[in-house]
Formats: sequence, C-alpha cells, structure tokens
Amino acid sequence: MIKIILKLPADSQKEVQDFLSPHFLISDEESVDEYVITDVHYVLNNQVQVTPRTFVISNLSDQENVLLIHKYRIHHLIGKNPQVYLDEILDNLRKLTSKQFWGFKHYFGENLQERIISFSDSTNIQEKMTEELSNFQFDGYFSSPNDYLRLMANELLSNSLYKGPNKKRLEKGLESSDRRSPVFLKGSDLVQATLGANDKGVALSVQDSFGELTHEILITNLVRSFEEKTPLDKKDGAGLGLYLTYLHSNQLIVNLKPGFRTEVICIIDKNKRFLNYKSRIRSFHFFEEVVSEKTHA
Amino acid sequence: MKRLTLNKKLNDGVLHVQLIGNIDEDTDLTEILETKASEVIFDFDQVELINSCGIREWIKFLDNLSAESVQYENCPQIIIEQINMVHGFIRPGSKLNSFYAPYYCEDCDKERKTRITSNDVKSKKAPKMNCPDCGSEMEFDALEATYFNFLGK
Repeated sequence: MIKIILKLPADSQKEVQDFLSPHFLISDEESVDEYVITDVHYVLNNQVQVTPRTFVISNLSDQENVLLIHKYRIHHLIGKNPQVYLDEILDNLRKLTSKQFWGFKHYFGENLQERIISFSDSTNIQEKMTEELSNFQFDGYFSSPNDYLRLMANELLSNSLYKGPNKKRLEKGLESSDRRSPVFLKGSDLVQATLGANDKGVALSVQDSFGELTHEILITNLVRSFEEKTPLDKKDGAGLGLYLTYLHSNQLIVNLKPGFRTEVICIIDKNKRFLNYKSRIRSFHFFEEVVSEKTHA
Repeated sequence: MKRLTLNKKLNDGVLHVQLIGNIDEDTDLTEILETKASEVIFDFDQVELINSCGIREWIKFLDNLSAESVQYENCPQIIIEQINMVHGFIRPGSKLNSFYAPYYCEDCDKERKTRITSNDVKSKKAPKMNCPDCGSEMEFDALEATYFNFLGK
C-alpha cells in the first residue's frame, strides 16, 4: 500500500487522515521519496522540503500561490476550498501514484459525455469549438461556462498550434509564425482538444505532440502575467493566454512528457452560482512523465 | 474566427461604433483611427469573445486613437473580467458607462446577467436589482471588490 505522510495543523490533519486512510497508508515516518501532504504555512516556514510528490494545501490568494509555486517549485497546490479539496487530493494522488497521467479519467471517471476534436491547422478554431460546445447541456451551472470554455480553448489551441512548430522553426533558423498567419501542422504533429462533462463538472483538455511546456516556462509566464498584467509584443502571442486560462479554471492541470507531449486540462466544477465559481481558490497540478532511455532511442 | 464587424455612425463629431463578433489577432480598427472624431462611443453589446491577442490589439489601437473622449457601453460580463485582469484596456480618462453583471434570483433559482450603469455603483457596492420574472430582490453573484475593480482604474 502506498504510504502518505501528513504534515498539517491538527484540525486539518484529522480531516485529511480520515478521508485518505481507506485508500492509502498514513504514516509518520519521514523519508524523501514519500508522498507528502502539507499546509502552505509549513512551506513558508521551511518545515517541509518540497518535491514533485508534495501536495501543498493553501488558503492564499491566486497571485500569492503562483509566486509560491515559483519560489518552491511546487508541482501540486490545492486551494483550500471546503467542499472539494479532499476529493481533489484523492484524485490527484491516485493519478500521481498510478503514473497514468493522460486524459481526465482520474477526475471524472469513465462515465462522462466526451467530444474529441483534432486540429491540423489554425483555421476555424473558434467555429469548431463553438459547434462542439453546442452538444453539451450546462444545466446546473452558472449561465456562462460556454464563454469561459471557448476563451480557454482559443488560448490553449493557439498556443499549441503556434508555439510548438515555432520552436522547431527557430531551431532551423527560420522566422517564427505570426498569429495572423495560418499554420498547418506537418506529418505526425497533432493538436487535439477534448471536452468532457458529467455530474462533477466540465473539463477541457488540449494536447499537443511537442512537449515544450515545462514547469519553469509555465510558472515564469504566470508570474510575469500576475505581476505586470500587460500583453507582450511577440509575434506568436501576447503572453497572457495561460494567465487568463488559470484565472478562468477551478483546477489547472498540466501533463508533460518533455519533447513529446503536453496536455493542459482546465476543470470547472459543477456550480450553479457564479460567485462560487469565481471565489474559489484555484488549484494547480503539474505531472511530468519521465522519458525513458528506450523512448529516446 | 468570426471577424469583427464595425457599424459606425458619425454625428456632430461623435462617433458611435457598434462592435460585433470577436476581438482577436485579426482585428483591424484602422478605419476608426481615420475618422478623426473628437468623441468615440463603443458599444460592446455584441462582442462575443476577446482573447489575449485581441486585448493587445485593442491597447495598441487606443495608443493611436486621438479622440479626446472615449466611452464604453454595454460591456458583457466576460469583457469586464478581462478588463479587470489586464491593464490598459481602458485608457485613463475614458469612461465605461454601462455593463452587464451577474445577479442571482433565489426564488427562481436562476442567474441573470443584468445591465447596470457605472453611476449605479457606489463605493464598489452592487446596486439592488429585482428579478424580471418574479420581482424578488436578487443577490449580486460575484465578488464586488473584484468585479467593480475597473471603476477605480
């Protein structure tokens, strides 16, 4: 049975322990390799050494959390939202320990309405997403999850379609593509969006076959956006898409196989009140699949 | 993406511009710059989406706009959120006259996007609104300090 170490204040300790103990072995023995669940104040007071297996529960603001993620290289930050944070810990721990990262089955299970849309070029992104979204009934939600999903899809798909190929172009000494010019992917390159919904919430996943969105790139981008709140004058984007996506998600999850594959998943909890959607502390998860020698060869 | 359409009417130096569609990287607002009106009023009621590149294009456009007075009307909720998240969408001295905000009617169990004016908002407190169906007083359904942040810009 997988061992979990809890380093939490007494009130949270009992709550988390009671919730997780049917699924994991809760231990007091400390070891560097174990999965640790802790509180943000233990991190700030340097009472915990953060590793990619550390889950940090935080009640800080989104901007403070992003700065914290950057400073301590946190891979899993859970917003302390009373109704959902325990489920989130369980879902993401199961995912991390299973080492099966791709897709959103860990969050929604198998029973969900799902639509997959593949893109080989940047034309008509918005029209295709709008058409696919029309297949979903958002009963039980605030009135506009569609608006947010369309915006996040637009930002993430544009990032995937331009930034991955642009890196290859730069490596070949070619100029990067401008967002105003259409891009057409070559050969096995792929960008795919998946929409999914069930009684837990709605999710958007955007996957590409480039694997360029590292923790460092992502968090540096978010820190700049939170601090400056201004667009950049770059040919292949304004540098704000991930920031807007972060702020419109309830959970932002990134799966990476460096050089091979990236997946960004945005989850919006099922929620009738817009106030609850927006007042939630956002959670962040970053999963990195180790590239084996065999894959390299 | 659906290109932005501009419906323009110029009366006594005041240019009314109705924006229809998406504001994005392909948005071209040159024809407004060429009008040389002293006052421009933008109606955002039919703007469906503004992405990060669209925000950038809008800010660049404002830098080149010579009109002395710039006003915004009927801003949808998602535009208000983008304005609050990114600096520069409203240039100093311009006025956002009216916009949509989320309200919730507990009796009908429904959210209503309700048009309010900036003058209705005092000290970043949402004005009282009644449900158009049942007449009950509705609750403002966002964080007031965050949602009305643009009014202090």
